[in-house]
Amino acid sequence: MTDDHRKPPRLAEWLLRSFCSYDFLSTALWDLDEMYEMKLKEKGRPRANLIYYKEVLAIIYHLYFKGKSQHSPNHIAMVKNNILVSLRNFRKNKSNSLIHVLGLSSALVAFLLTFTYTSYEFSFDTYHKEVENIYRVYKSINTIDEPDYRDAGTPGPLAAALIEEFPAVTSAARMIGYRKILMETKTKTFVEPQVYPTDASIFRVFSFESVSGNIDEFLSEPFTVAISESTALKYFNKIDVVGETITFAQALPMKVSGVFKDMPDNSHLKLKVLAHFESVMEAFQQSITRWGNNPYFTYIRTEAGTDADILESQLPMIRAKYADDPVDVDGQEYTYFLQPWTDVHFNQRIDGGLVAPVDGQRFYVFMAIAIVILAMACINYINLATARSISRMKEVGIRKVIGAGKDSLIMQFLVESGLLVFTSLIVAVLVSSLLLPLFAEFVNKPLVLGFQKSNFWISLLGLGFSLTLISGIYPAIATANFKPLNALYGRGEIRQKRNLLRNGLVVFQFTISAALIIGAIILTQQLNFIDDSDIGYSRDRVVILNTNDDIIEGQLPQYMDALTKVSGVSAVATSWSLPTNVTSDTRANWQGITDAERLPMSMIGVTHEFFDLFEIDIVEGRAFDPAITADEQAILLNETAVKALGWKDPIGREMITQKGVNSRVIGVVKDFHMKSLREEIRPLQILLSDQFATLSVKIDTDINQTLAKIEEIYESFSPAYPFEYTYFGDIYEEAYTEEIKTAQLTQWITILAIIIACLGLYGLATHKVEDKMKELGVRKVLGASVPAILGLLSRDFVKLLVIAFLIAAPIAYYLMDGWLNGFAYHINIGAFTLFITLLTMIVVAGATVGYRTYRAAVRNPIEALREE
Amino acid sequence: MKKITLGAFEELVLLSVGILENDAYGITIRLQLEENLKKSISLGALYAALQRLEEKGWVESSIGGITEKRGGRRKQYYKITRDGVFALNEVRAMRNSLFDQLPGNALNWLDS
Repeated sequence: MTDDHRKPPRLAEWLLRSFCSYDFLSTALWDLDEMYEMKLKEKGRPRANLIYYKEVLAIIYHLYFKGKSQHSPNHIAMVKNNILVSLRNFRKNKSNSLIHVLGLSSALVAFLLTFTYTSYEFSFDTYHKEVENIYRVYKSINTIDEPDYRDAGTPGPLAAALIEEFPAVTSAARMIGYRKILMETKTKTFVEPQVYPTDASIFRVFSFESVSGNIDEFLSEPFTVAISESTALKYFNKIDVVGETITFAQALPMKVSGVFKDMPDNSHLKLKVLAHFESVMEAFQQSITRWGNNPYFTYIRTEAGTDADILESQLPMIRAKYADDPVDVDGQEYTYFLQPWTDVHFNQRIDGGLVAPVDGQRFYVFMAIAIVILAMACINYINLATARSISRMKEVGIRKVIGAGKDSLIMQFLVESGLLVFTSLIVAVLVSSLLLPLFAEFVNKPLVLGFQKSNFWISLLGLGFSLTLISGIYPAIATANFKPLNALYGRGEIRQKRNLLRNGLVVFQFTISAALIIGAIILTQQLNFIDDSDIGYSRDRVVILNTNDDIIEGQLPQYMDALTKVSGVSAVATSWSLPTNVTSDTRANWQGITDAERLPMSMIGVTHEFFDLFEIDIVEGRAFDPAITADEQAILLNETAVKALGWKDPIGREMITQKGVNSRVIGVVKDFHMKSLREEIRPLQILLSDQFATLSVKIDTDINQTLAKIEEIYESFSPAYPFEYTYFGDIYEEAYTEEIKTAQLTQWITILAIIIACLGLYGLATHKVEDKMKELGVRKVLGASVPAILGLLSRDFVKLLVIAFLIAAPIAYYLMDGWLNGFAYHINIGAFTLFITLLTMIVVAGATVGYRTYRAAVRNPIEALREE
Repeated sequence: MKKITLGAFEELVLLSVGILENDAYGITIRLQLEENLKKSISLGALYAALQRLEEKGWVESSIGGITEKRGGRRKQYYKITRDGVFALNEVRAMRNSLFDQLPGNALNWLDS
């Protein structure tokens, strides 16, 4: 054993040396050494180290904190003394300390909550083993409309081709998602929301853990499934279900080949039911060999250390080499790319994923705002501490005269700010842990503070120390720099310069507050605008019914007939999609059309009562009429289409639909928003079609009673599947939840920012009043009025506010204008908004400063003057 | 007479120091105590007790075993003083006299 190995842990020894008094230090060290050597032989190094630490802490506890060891070393005694002095100071300036703790802890609460939220989002999908080697393959198509259209759908043969061509691709899996499949066990029936047929290699691409069965045999045979633990419990009330049978869609008996552990909450794709790929695809009559059929997702895992860029650059040859139909009929060119798995949750540029990605940028913005708020709270401290340093000049002077060095003075002030910071931190952690459940519910995410992780505590400690340094170092140095003579004289020599800095910081704070106020007002206005704006269709009393099972799908006309007869149902219609989201595209076409006239249009197929149901107005011509069979070859256009085509008299004109049917335009509908309000209304073609049915009904009496009646009818048609429905209003709201929540968060954050800025202002006003006490007394004795004194005290602050506003307005204008431009239809930022902002600031700041100064202004001057 | 305050733990430490005679220092005292009490004791608690005992003058310490090791580690030996033995004796006498005053039926439990 080398000498080095027998040394006890250094940190523990250092701790002991720092705390233990000299008289006991040497003997304690001797004993500990002897003990350490013994334990090393008996129990090995880690245990011995642990015991050493324990003993050291016990010695410190017994001798330093509990005992009365008077001979503690100097620097520790100084810290003890510093803490004492700081505590005395806090007691002396209770309101000041309260301002600091209040401001800092509320900023820290905001910071901790935001941090928990964003780090949860950024942790998505990172739990897979070597996640950096997992990719989703996506394709890019150059269409005429959209030059770089990206889409996650890939063809069936791609996975095998990748494995064959590139040795670096160690496994590849295909997958497809099916919605709402009826699943039956011997005793129970469920509609499974998502079922994923996939290759067995999925278990090698992603990290799964087996709960029952051998993971290498999962999905290895045709007509088998692998299910998650919770699904197994739901279906069979037990986990050990390998060999049991689940029947899909009343046709395919599937054997359970394995049960895997549920995927964690931070997976964007939560797989619950996986089915054998080839056999199920054959049963569902999906081609898995054609390169032109692209409904599948391809996931690959590469060898560690593979350069994704190089691999990606080799992908274009795949299609040419392996596909028998290298180029599609319509001349679209496909190229394949790789997307890192952790990017899938955030990348909104690639369409057609299984789960809609989120806007990752939002989280950076949240984080930035939280940091800015924290900075505002630190500024409060810097400002107030420098302001107060003048009143502590005498203390510093005496200390210096007695012989305190600059560094020990700096240390003293740092200990003071450290105490405040850590007190606030403790308050903030407590408050955050209370608020987190509410916050988690608000953002709808299962958030937890990382109490059980050591990293969390280390980061908190780091945060505490850096905040102490950031907020404490400048006031500490500035105060410690006083020349002792001047200090005792009571005269600060660099006051002017310091005022400038303080004012600058106040301006910064109010700039941010003003910008946030402007932002919050505009956000609210825009969202109200969306809420009030005429979307062009009605969403009241419309209920969407499910039609996803085969029985209903086969007898849809009969079902709709039966629905029409229900009293309370005023309209029944199907459409390709809901008016909130029209997804099909086409191009204008008629006999003798020129290429320039081939206008890109949206397209929707509807049944007769669609217009009544959604209350979409017909502005010209008529709607589809069930009595006129020729309407099968009729179409309607929206106003935008008529305008874009430049037709003076659209009724009766001919158009060839995508199916190649020559149709006549019979009517024009009023424009309605067919995507989110962020997007512009596009030209639209409406045809009569009962395909791809989304079934909606309008109910004009009691909704619940009518739904009960509808359910009865549904049961008579399709007893196997449960009856499901959604309110159209909910679907509509959901499209805007994100924005509404962002607006609410922004409002809260704005209020917080204003409070923190005002706390700082209050502190500064207090200081100013104290500073000018004598002056005010003299002025009052000489006959100054209360308003005059108020004006004198507030003038400077108002000046700062106006400057802050002047800086904030253009910045906020620029930023919010950019955000608003994301909406095709939006409000304009008016002078009124800016005026309201300025007014709010002046009122709030005025109240803060006014409250403090008023008290000073109405005081009896005697009180100010008699103390000398 | 000077009032004697000797805590239970201090008493045990003092006894151990006495028993160990010339070989009483941190580690050995602890071993002695742990063997007899059948429970573990931290050095910190032991030092605190020794400190108090030394203040009362019942043990005295001397430095021994000067070593070449860095960092000024020293072995500090403890020895029980005459006063210490007296204190122990007094505490024992006091306890014995109290014990003897226990009523007969309480003592009977010991035999059963």
